[in-house]
Amino acid sequence: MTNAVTLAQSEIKTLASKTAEISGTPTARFSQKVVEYFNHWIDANQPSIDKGHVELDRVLILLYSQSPSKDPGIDTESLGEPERVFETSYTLSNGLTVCTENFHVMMSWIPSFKNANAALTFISEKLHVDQTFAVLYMSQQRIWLHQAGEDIEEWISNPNIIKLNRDPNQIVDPTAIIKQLEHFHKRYLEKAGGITARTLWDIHEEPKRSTLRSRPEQQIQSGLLPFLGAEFRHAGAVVDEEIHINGKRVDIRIVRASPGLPQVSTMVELKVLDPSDSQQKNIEWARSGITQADQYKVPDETDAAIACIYDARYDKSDIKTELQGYADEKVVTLLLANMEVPPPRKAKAAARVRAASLPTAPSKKAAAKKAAAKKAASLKKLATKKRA
Amino acid sequence: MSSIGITVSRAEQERLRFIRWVLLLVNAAEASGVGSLQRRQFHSLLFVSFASSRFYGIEPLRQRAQRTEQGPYYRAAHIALGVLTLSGLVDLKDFRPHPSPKDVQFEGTFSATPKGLAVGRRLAETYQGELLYQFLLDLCLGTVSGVLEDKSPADSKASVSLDQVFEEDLTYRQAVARPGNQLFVEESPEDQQTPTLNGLKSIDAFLKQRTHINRKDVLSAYQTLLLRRVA
Repeated sequence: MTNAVTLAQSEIKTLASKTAEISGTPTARFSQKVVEYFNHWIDANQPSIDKGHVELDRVLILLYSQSPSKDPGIDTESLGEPERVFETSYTLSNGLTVCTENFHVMMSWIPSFKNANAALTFISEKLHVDQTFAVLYMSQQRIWLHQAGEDIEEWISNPNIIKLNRDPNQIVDPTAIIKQLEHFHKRYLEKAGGITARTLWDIHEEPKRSTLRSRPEQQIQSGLLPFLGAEFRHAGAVVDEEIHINGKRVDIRIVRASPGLPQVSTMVELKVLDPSDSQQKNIEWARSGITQADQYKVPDETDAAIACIYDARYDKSDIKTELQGYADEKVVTLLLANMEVPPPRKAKAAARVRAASLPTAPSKKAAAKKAAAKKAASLKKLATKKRA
Repeated sequence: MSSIGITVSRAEQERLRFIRWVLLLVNAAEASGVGSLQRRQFHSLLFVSFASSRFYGIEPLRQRAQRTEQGPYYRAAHIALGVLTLSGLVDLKDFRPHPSPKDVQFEGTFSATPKGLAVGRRLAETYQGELLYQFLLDLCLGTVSGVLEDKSPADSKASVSLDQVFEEDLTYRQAVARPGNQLFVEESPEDQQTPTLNGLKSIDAFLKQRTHINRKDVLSAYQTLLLRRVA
């Protein structure tokens, strides 16, 4: 007989097969859902794909929104009524559909694009830097993923291309994971213009050097999640959502089934060394990443703990020597990777000096200043008139 | 942005916090795909949110619901929804008064508006706002994955409505069993370990022995168990 006010053990035991849902921030969850959808779509439509029925030019844009029907994030004035689409039919493969993060509500606003170029033109003209969306190239099994903060034109010329790894014999082990983390670093973080790197910095006018925006670890985590999800289809990348608000830890656990064990997981801790922090503080921060990677190992389950330390300091003085010993002591793999600091913008003052040395035609700036002063004076006059 | 000096009385602070809670819950329902909620569903979900918020380290608001034939009824939520609707931050459909001997009560279906979602995003830029929205969103995501998309075989699942699931909440069951017209979550510090919180902790302990989960997975699992109790 069920007690209305407590849960019985027998009830709780029915949850034995429950695993973590996709995790991370809402937009990171959306991005992972895109990867998952594409994989399921390919599974479901394999016969059509094998017969060559998927046109080279077919693309699907999936756009994230808190409300796909009421606030889709696109100008819907010239569009007809949207059509609700259901994820698990796995037939959606063209046009533009706006989705909640979990794909529970999907509204197709544009049924199809003429071709990929038409889709990219649409993006260039109608979507915004602060939107999260994906372009699925249906015959290529590649996704162009756009995260909030990436300039659209810059993104179109250097997109974040995520290729699905559909190798059924793929091995997921610490060696493979480390290889992918290194690959991610090279493409996404090493250079200042890297896909994730370009969203991490505030670039100022010289002589002020570039500074890191807040929560860089979380941005990196959000970039890594769909990347790892596409690479390791049969593993789950789970993050600890509880900790992200205080920012003390940012992690990813790659969990998968293993013969003879309930599961195996590889622990990854992420840390970014901030150029605005002191050397001492940065070393402590790096060490805390190694400590946490060790502390959060799970006995009989964690096969490796990796501390990814991304070095964004202005001067990349050696810290590996100091950290490697500590990492070895804790049995943590240390991945220390450089992040190039973007150079500052050229000063406007230099431009003024150059202009001053040119022949005497009244400068546009002086003319504009004069016009502004004139306007201000007439507005003041008008205000005085109103008050009277 | 310069700060504006405004003095807000304690009572007004409570009212504003309630309005924030209600707005963020409406937005969370939209963003999770739960979508619009009828008055009864909304008030019972509100009760569940107060009964479970300490699982996220959030102190619930101290409001009491009234016991009515139409489920729990929060007068404060009614006022908050009115304010939000008149401000265009919440959309109200099928509005109709309810015959009630005491108070004026209304029925209707509530859902988000673009303006309300924008205000909600701003509210979630503060530390407390971010934490509160994360909790409410996770609760609603749990309603989707744990109830609406639950794949376990349940013969009579088709006829179960959301308010039936929410009203199976352990703390609600305790409140309803108490005498009197008021349904409350916490009256004193001793009440802080609500039956809901205890249930969530038991599920959390059980699942964590097996695998890595987040708090939203526990909220989802909890709602699945409530669904099974109803079905």
